[in-house]
Parts: sequence; structure tokens; C-alpha cells
Amino acid sequence: MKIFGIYNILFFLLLAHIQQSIAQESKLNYQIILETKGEYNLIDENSRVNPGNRMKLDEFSSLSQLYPIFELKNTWGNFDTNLQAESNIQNYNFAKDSTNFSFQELYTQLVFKGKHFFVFGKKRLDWGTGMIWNPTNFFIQKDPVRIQNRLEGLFMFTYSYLFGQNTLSFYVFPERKGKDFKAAIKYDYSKERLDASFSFVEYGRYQQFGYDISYGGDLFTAYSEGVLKNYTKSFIVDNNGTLIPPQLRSEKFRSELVLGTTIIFNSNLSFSGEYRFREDYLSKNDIKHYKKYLPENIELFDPLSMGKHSLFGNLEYKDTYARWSVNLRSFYDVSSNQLAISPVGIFSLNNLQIELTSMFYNNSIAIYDLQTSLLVSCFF
Amino acid sequence: MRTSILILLTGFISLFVNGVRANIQTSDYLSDLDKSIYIEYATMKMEMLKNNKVVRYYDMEFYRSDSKMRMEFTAPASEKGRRMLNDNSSLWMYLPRTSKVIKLPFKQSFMGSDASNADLMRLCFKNDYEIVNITDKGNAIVQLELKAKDLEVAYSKVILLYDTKRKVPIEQEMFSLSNKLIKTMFYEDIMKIGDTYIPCTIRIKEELQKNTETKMYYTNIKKENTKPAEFFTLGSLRR
Repeated sequence: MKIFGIYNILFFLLLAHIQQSIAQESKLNYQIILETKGEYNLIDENSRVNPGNRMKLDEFSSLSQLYPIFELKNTWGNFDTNLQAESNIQNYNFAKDSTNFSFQELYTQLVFKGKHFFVFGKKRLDWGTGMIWNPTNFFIQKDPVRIQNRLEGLFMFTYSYLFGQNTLSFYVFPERKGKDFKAAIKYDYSKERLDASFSFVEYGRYQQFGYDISYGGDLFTAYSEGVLKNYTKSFIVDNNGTLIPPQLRSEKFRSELVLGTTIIFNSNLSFSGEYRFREDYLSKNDIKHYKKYLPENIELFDPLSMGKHSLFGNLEYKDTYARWSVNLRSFYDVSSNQLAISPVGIFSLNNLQIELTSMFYNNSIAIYDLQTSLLVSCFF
Repeated sequence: MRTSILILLTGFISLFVNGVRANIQTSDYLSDLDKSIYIEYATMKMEMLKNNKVVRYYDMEFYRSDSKMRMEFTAPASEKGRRMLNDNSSLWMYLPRTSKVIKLPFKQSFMGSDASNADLMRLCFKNDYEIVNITDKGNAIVQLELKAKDLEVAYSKVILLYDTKRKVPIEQEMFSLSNKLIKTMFYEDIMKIGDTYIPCTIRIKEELQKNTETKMYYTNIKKENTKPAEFFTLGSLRR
């Protein structure tokens, strides 16, 4: 464990002790989650990205994760404090030397009169309304195959002021080097069935302007989320098949947006769909060049979507008591013609959840023909 | 002629006075009903039963302020940390796994139960309904027939048994626009909290699926909570 991490832990323990000793009311909550995921991969030996499995990918793999989560809530006068710690211990393939420990979240929150919120520490950034893709979340994107996965937080100082149905938030993300300084401002608004937010991010030398809007009807929701940014995280291929790295492509402002909806047909059946446009990703022509120079251009590879236009759809049928559900998910990239279809079955009990997922790939640049995973989560 | 005008006038005045008295009485019934089911804080256990067997349960803290409601889940362990906010026009859910808030379609049933979001809000009778018929059932019990004021209201007709002595509802039948009985609610375990009688158990029977039932048990009931107005906003739900 790094020395920096130990100092952080000691500092937060001290804060917890101070909060506890002056509190008028105190409440400790905890939760422990144990997840084990086993995966079987049917490797496509004829893949243009990974011919003859030159990446030496395993057919079987496993990942075990333990999340101990603690929350200490205190009240003194007009102040409420909250100290939250969520750590993650993970192990790959049950191997002795592949155990990692990290803090997903470790922060303290001070609330004054229920209106002023100060946060200091490592916390997840909750930006964006999109279910699968969140362009406004400039640091971390979710795994589109596991959207409920617990993400790692970011080290930040934030102040939020709530007034009526509005919230104004200021963020500072400390960095060791001054030129990497990151800060953001966000305004959230909510009125009857409409929620909207506008954000601005100063990202080192780059900037990002973002919005998200959602509308909730009786039987549906509709939302949109988008950004205009002068940086990119995407490689591109020129006519000679040469990869151009993201740092050489930044400066110009480009857009990215998501449109989505959830429709409820009855208490059992629902549909969710999302469309994403990314100006800085590959066009149909770029994909042709990319394929021509495979497998050298591996850096650019994304198993689900590499092009400008991506689609996602999920049809869900769940039983009346939400004990089990069957989902049919599909991803389609219009530019690269990548298609992935994923049936998912989820069985839930009060303290146990079992999730069986398969992913069938149908395109010329996939690494796998099929991936199947079994995820067992126990909650205490 | 003068006498007949006087009789007519007296008749009108008496009709008017009786009308006002009736309005006051019916309006009082609805106000008292709202009062008896309005609480601002409780710990709540919700059980979903199939063939009289509990198939799912949730424990939560329930907060309310006028037409806004917030719930914080404390059990089972898989749902711990989940929060819901209903401000009578929108419904949001906070998911602790991703720290994200998602907006839900408003008429989505509540976590797979027989209760709709409107049922959980413990309906606001005075705003949503008017009394069209009152029948005396004896022993200080009256049957009220209520008609929805507009189509936005969840149930177009409600027939309610009301205890006029303790000023609490006993049983409530909810009908669809086509006059079909959809649900029956039973108000049980009536306790006196302060100067008001409050039902501490609500049982919801789904009439279309005969073998299912949802029970809601309220404990630690408080008529008022100390939470600021901001606690019932989307901004606060995220934090």
C-alpha cells in the first residue's frame, strides 16, 4: 500500500473520531458485498484483431471482489456530517499474487442546514442521465456490459448550494502538477417533469461544455446528454493506415451526444434504448483503413463500438415481484457494422443475486465468438 | 302573494344553509381523512405476499412533506442505500452502486409490489376527490362514495368505509374508469398518535390477481419531521 494511501486513511480516521466525539446523534451503517464472476470465452481464431490468439487470451477467467462499505452519519446543531468508506479487494483467477486493495470511495461530507454541501475526498462522480453512455462524465465511463458495476471515485473538493429546485456545484480535482489543474461548475434545475443541467469543465489545457435533460412521463422517460469538447480520447487512422494518437487530434471542438428512452408496456415488460453520436470517432471510410492495417492497429480496438454512431437496446421482462428478470440486450455500431447480442438472466433473493450473461459477437473484427459469464453477488 | 314570496324565500334560505352545512360536513370528512393518513416520518416495512407467503420485503425510512415523499431503504442488504423521491409529478431513484440518480416513469409500480406510487403517497383525498354519496352504515361508520375531480387522479372512483368516531378510514375500494374494482385497501392497527388516530398497517389486495397482497407496517410514526424543504429535492437525493 502506498504511503500516500496510509496518510489518507489516518486522516479520515481522525476526522471520524472528531465527528463522533462532538456529535449529538450518531448512526453507523455498513454493508459487505462479495462478488465472484466466472467467465468462459470462446476465442475467434480467425479474428483480424487477434489472429491465432496472439494476445494469449484465456478461455476461462475469474474475478472475485469484496466491497466493505461503512458510513458514519452524525448530527450536531445545524450540521450533518457523513463519512463514507468503500474499499475494494479483488483477486484474478484465484491466484495468490493477483490480489489488489483500493479505496473506491473515501470522503467526508459536511452539510449545513440541508442546503450547503461540502465534500472532501475520493467520491464517485454522478454526472449524466444516460444509462449506458455518459459523455458528460469526463473522467470515467461505465462498462457498457456491466452498467451497475461500482466505479472508482475521484479525489475532489466540492461545494454545492441547493436553492429551491436548483443546485449550483463547484468542483476542484487536485493534481500534483499545476498544468493538469481540473475544475468544474455545474448547474442543475428541476421543474415538474423536467430535469436539466449544464456544466463546464476546465480539463488541464482543454475545456468541455455539457448538458443533460430528462423528461418523465407516466409510462416513459426520455433523455439527452451531450458535450462540446476540444479534446479527444480516440485514435484515428489516416489513409496510409497510420494511427494518429489523441494528443495530436485535440484542440478542435467536437461534439458527442446521447439520446435515450425507457418505455414501460406493463408491470412486467419494458424497453430501454440509447443512441450515441461521437464526432471524434471513426467514419465508415476510417473503419475500412483500420481493417486494412490490422492487427497492428490494435490500440484503437473496442469490442462493442468504434464508430461515430452507436445503438443500444434492451428488452426486459421481469416477474411481478422483481425476483427474476430476462433481458435481451444488443449493441450495434452503424459505422463499423459491429453487432453484439446479449441475453441476460438475473435472479434475486433478499441477500443474493445471480446473473448469467452471454454475449454473441457477429462481425469481422471481434476477438471472441461468444463470452459467457456467471456473476454471484452476496450481500451482508 | 306576499306570503308565498316569503315562503319561497324561506325555502331558498333553508336550502342554501343546508347546502352549506352539507358542504362543510363533506369537506370535513375529506380533511379528516387526509389528516388521519398524513404522517411525515415513519419506519416502514413492506411485505409482498403470494398465496399468503412473503416473497419479498423492504425496510425503509419514510419521509413526507405535503405532496413530496422520500424513502431510504435499510433492508434487505441487497437494497441498502437505495433512495426514492416522489414529488407528485416526478419519480427518481438513487442507486448506491453507481451513485447515480435515474428518473423513472411515474406510473411504474413500486418495487414489484401491488402498491402504485399514488398508494404509497397515501392519497390526498381533499385535492383529488369529491363526495358524491354518503350512506350511514350504523355504529358511527359511514360509506363514502368519492369521484375523482379529474382524469389525472389514479383511481376514478373510490368507495370508502369511514369511522366517524375515530375519524379514520377502515376499508377503501378503488375503481378504474370502466368501473372495475382494481384494489382494496384495508386500514388496520389503528393507534392514537397525539390527538389523531392513525392506521399503522395498510393491506393492499390486488383484485385482478386474487392471490397477491402487499402489507405496509408503519412504526416510529411522527406527525412532523425536522427535515428542511431541500431534503425533498433532486439535488439533495444525489448527496
